[in-house]
Amino acid sequence: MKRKICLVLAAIMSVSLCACSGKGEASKGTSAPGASSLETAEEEKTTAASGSETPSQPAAAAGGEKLPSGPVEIQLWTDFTIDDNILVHAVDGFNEAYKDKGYTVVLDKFAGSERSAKMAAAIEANQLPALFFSAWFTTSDFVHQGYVADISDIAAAVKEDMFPSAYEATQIDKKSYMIGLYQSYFGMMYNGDMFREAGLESYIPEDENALAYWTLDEFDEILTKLKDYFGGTEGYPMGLFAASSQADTFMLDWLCMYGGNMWSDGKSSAGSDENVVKALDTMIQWMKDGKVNSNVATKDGTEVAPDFKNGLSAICSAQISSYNSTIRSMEAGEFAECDLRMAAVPVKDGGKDTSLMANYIYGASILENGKEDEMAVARLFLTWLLEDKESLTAINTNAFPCFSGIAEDPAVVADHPMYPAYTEAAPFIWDFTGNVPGYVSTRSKLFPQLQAAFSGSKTAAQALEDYSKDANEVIEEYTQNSLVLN
Amino acid sequence: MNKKFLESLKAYVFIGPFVILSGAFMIYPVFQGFIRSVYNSKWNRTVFVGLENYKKIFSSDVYLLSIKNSLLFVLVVVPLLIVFGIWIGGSIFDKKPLYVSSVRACLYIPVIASMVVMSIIWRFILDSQTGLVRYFAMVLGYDKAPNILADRTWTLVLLMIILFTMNIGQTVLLYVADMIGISRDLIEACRIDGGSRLDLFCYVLVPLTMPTTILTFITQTSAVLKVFVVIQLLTKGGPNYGTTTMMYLLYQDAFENRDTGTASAMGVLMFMISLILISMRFVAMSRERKEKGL
Amino acid sequence: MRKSKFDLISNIVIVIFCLFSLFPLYWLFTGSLKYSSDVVKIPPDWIPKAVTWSNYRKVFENYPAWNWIFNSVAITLLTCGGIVLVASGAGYALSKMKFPGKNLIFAYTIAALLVPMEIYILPLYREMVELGIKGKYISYILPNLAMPFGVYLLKNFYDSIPNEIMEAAQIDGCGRVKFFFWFGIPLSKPGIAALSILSAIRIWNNYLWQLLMADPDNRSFTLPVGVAKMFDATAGDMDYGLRFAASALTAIPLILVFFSFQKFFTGGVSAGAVKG
Repeated sequence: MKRKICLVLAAIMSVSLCACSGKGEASKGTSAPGASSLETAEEEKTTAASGSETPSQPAAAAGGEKLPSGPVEIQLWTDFTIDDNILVHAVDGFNEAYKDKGYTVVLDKFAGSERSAKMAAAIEANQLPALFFSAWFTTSDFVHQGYVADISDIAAAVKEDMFPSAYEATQIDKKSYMIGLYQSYFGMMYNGDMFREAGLESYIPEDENALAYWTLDEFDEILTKLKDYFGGTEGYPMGLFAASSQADTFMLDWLCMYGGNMWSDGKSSAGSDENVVKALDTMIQWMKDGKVNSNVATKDGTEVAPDFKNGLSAICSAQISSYNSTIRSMEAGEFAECDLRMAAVPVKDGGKDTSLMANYIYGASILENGKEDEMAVARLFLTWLLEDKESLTAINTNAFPCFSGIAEDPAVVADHPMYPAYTEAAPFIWDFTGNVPGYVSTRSKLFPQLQAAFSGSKTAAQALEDYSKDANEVIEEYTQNSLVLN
Repeated sequence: MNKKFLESLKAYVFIGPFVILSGAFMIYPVFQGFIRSVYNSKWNRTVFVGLENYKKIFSSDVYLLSIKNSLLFVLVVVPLLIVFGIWIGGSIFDKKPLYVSSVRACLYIPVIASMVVMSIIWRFILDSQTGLVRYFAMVLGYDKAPNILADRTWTLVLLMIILFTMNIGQTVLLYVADMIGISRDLIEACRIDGGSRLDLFCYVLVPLTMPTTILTFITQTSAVLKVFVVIQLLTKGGPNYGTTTMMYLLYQDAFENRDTGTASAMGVLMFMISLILISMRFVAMSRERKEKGL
Repeated sequence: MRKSKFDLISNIVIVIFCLFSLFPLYWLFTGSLKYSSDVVKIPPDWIPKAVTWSNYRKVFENYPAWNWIFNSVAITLLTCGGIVLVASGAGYALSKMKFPGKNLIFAYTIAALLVPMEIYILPLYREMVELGIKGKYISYILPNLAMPFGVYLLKNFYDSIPNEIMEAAQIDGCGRVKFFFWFGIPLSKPGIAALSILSAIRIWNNYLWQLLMADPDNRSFTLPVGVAKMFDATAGDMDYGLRFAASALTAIPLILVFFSFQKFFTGGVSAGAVKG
């Protein structure tokens, strides 16, 4: 036995020695195998980054001259909530058109909650896809970190066709890093049948395609009636959640229900805005009164939609694209049919009743993956996609188009009766990211504080103040390190 | 000499695959991790930052809390596993084989069912809106159920219980196997000397299963230290960072925040902590042996 | 053995504890037989009132579940086979053979017991990509083959084979290598069985690694990864009964394996497996 102890101690010593020497070598940058491979990786990355500073030369070639010869296969990663066939069709169209050149695009569609892990692993392995279709707020994080190519030239070519707001939203420092393909307003969906059963039919707009705009006082009555409707069962009127940053845009909407500002001057101002504090206090009161689910602190944003579809709640967070996909799955018989409607989030700003909806812009980006050939083909794909009317329309109409030509095309409007309602909603749209650098990372600072507030371990004011402090540290870090701002 | 050489050669053939595979798929990446921990590669360039990542960990309340939580889990759950493993094992090993295998199966099946599945089920059960907890609260006459997962203390206790139930099966399995192998004569002798069940534990079972205890201690320390899935699926480190563990933050940094430098530093710290814990165990044991004059 | 109160109370407590630890699984399996709306109902149906197998049928109809099962089974079997081969060779060498560096390798084995894969998972991922094998079966298998726990287990097992037997065999002209194949492996069968099942559980449930290695094509998923993806709200299925059925499906194969290997754990056969 004694011998074994010695052995183990020896092992511990040898391992820790190994560890120390490892660090020493790394810091000196000698030719330890690990260190050297890291250096080469570093070199590769810097070349990739320096490429981004002068992007315009190969850009001119996107038309056709300087294209790589021989077969090139590129990946298209997307977390779009979209009918699979639409993207498959687009990719197949491109592959068919460039068959003779040997260019292929491989589609990889995954859920939004998987995105971070997949991207982290890809960056780690130097295996970023050349094409990345996602929401602007997530992509902007990668932009600051230096992984997204400047595609101002491709964007400029379609500027005239796009809504100016959608075009400008995907720019940083006047450079475009994404081409918006569709925009999705984030409000809520509700179950009209349940509203009627709860005696709330007067709150349902007559036009089934219209968005509902309630005042905050009306909404309080809706919650109260729904509470009685669900009384004593496992159901609940509306789902709020604070367990993770998934879908927390909904919570941001609600934090602004008294006209408070989440951001001002590129900083988080939630903690110093008493209207935001008041909003959070109201939500906590709702929870205590049973007007929303009792487990807000531990409910995850991904759990409320399944509850809604299973008839456990009457109101649920939703954006246009997820509303559309919910309708698709209802029509496919995945859950019991009901009268599905959308509504804006009510706001009482001062004495004035208004509404708001957060806006997501979804679009296409090219990633700096260090592979010239792949990036060239990716540019080609984008140019091709923007000219392929059929695919472009199909993607744009997944929610509300970013291209004004498509949104106003009578043929398209005839197929999408809700478009007039979305156009009407335009005045209520707000930019929930405040366009701050590092927005995605600030999200991960918000929900723990919301949890603290909803579980009662902090007051609303304290929680929001702590959030603003954390968020501003993140913004500071991003502003200092951002590869596109500096 | 030649024969000795041949013998060594044969041994290397036997052990070679293990050494090569370990080197390629464990030592090499671990080594890479050590190197990584002194770099910052969050941005699209890799910068040498010295011990910055470690400083970040030690100056952040959240990271320190995660270290505290991880140690708490290890210090509470691992001793419990050993004590209960010996107790359950010692209470059942001499019973009818059918009973022994039934108990073992009952305890082991949760292990098999995997943390992913168990965490999902626990979440359904503990949901204060739709779960069984709500039902029990209503039976007791309350309209609302407590949201257990929103209370840090209760969540920690609950996580310890889950970790315990998820690992006790393996421990009992090893102890029973070990105890069944103990010579019948010894147990008989203990009985004839008028020893009670407690004496059997103290003088026969505990000392004779020491090797299993050491193995359990080592494997369970690392198993509890790396607990991740149950945190990810059940609490997401909440409420308000209350249940973050080192492994959970490592994952968050590596896969959510893409801060591989800090993640690697966290990995190095976890490695160090387990080494310290286990060497402490061995030091204590050797001292004990010296005192007994062995 | 003399009946003692302590022993009796202990066993009663143990039985209660067993029932407690089985309850979540009971809830899982009964939930998988319920319709979605009945899964989260208050008051709950302790015993499913309307039993349906449709959840299981849907898993196979709506998802390539057979592919997932095949992938998981193939990866688990191949990895376990590999682990046993590597570990029995290494364990035997550490136990019965003499060679320079033996102590160092044994010390490494002990230290390596402590290092979970998760700590070095990122560099390992990169290694897989650089080797160009990410997503292939081999990438699921290779990193798991050198299992220190297995080596430690089997070394202890070979240690329990008395050296006298081997010396006797040597006198009869049987070398150490021959002895390994003729006596070592057959004598260590229970140890190998124990290692097989322990490693099978570990490999089958190695969710994080399988997730990282997974290809985009959903037919290439392993069972745990496929099922976890069904839980994803944005792309996943909304039917709670279906989710329960899929989760139950990941647990069933291992539970069957456990029961078929039960006999290796009973009696004194596995005693050597844990002798230190």
